[in-house]
Amino acid sequence: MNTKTNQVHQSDESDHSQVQDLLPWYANNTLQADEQQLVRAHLQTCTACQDDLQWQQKLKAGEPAASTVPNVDRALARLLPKLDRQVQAAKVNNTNNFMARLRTLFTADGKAPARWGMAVMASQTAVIVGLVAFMALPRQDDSSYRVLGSGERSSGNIVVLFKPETTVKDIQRIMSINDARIIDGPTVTNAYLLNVDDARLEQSIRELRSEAGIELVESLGSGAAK
Amino acid sequence: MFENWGWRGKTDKKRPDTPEAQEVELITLIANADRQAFEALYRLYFGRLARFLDKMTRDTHLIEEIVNDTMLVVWQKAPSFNHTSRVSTWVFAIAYRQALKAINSFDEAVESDFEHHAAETRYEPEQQMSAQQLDADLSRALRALPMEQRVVVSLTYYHEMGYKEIAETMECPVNTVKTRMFHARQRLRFMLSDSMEEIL
Repeated sequence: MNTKTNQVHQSDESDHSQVQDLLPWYANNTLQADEQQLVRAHLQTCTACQDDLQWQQKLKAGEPAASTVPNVDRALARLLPKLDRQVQAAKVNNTNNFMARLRTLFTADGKAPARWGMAVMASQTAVIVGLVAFMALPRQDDSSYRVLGSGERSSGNIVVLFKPETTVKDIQRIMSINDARIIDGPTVTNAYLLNVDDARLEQSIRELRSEAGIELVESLGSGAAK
Repeated sequence: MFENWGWRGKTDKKRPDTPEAQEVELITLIANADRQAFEALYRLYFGRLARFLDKMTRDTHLIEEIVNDTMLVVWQKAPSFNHTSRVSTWVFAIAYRQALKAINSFDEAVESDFEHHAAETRYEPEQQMSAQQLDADLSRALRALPMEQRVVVSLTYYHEMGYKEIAETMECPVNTVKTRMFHARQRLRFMLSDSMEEIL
């Protein structure tokens, strides 16, 4: 009889210890069915575990307010240009891989006629010579023509969110009077990444904020990000 | 859910039903360099990751940087996502690693001395408590925990993760997760003994 009682006590203690370990995940409802059953059965008789569960539920319900204020648009605007660089790098790699595959195809191991290999190498050389010659040619002043992403001022320093009703004409006017360039966008929330001269960054931000067609203006300057 | 986050599918295919299936579909699209899918996933996770990282550092700018580092890894590694874990476990595991790396490199004093904070955190029984005070107490008590215990508590109570997922996220054995949680509970009990009884 005594042995039996001891065995029951030992089993209870073992359950108690196991349930103590599982309680936090019983509280967040992520236990498997058998574990859940074990905890539920033990809770019916163990007041210590009942109290503990209640305490944990209170703790769970009272997540402290965040002490920081991260901004999703500001952070995303900083990340997007990096994605472009990644995609471009991947394209370069793919091109290199393609050329490598092409070369392999026409080596002796590839069993293709050596003459084909020679022909491809010759055309490759011709293209490279042509490109070098093109780049070396003197060109007219093309200052009136700017492509997107030209190196002169390539990083964005302001994020703007235009109102949905703002017209293209308005956007062009706003860009023109602020000497601003669109570097990236629109994001799905119609945010654009702009670049303005650093020397007149603050002035541009003030002017952009005074525009009726703009919902939100955020600086990406180092100070503003803090 | 996708519409809420601004995702506009390019096909007329039927949208997945469950949030997990939707996230898996976003990862598949991201693996094909779909920027809209990436933005949708970014916005879906930004708040959750920021809330998680807030328990690890108090620097807003650093949190944004860690989220961006995390999501850049997601962008790069999406093609190798192997579907053996949930998307959230995968993303949080990346975020945890990135956070440890960033915090170590910034040498930020986030690891707190338990005894010191514990002494500060305990309130006299007669002291009047408000909900705001409890919020501050709990925040201080959590920050007083060693980083690994704090992360386990945060993922369990505030991100509804199972212990196996936490073990996967933190790359440690399941028993380590349970032990960390056990010690964390003991310390929190001690630090919050008065304020929890008064208010809750």
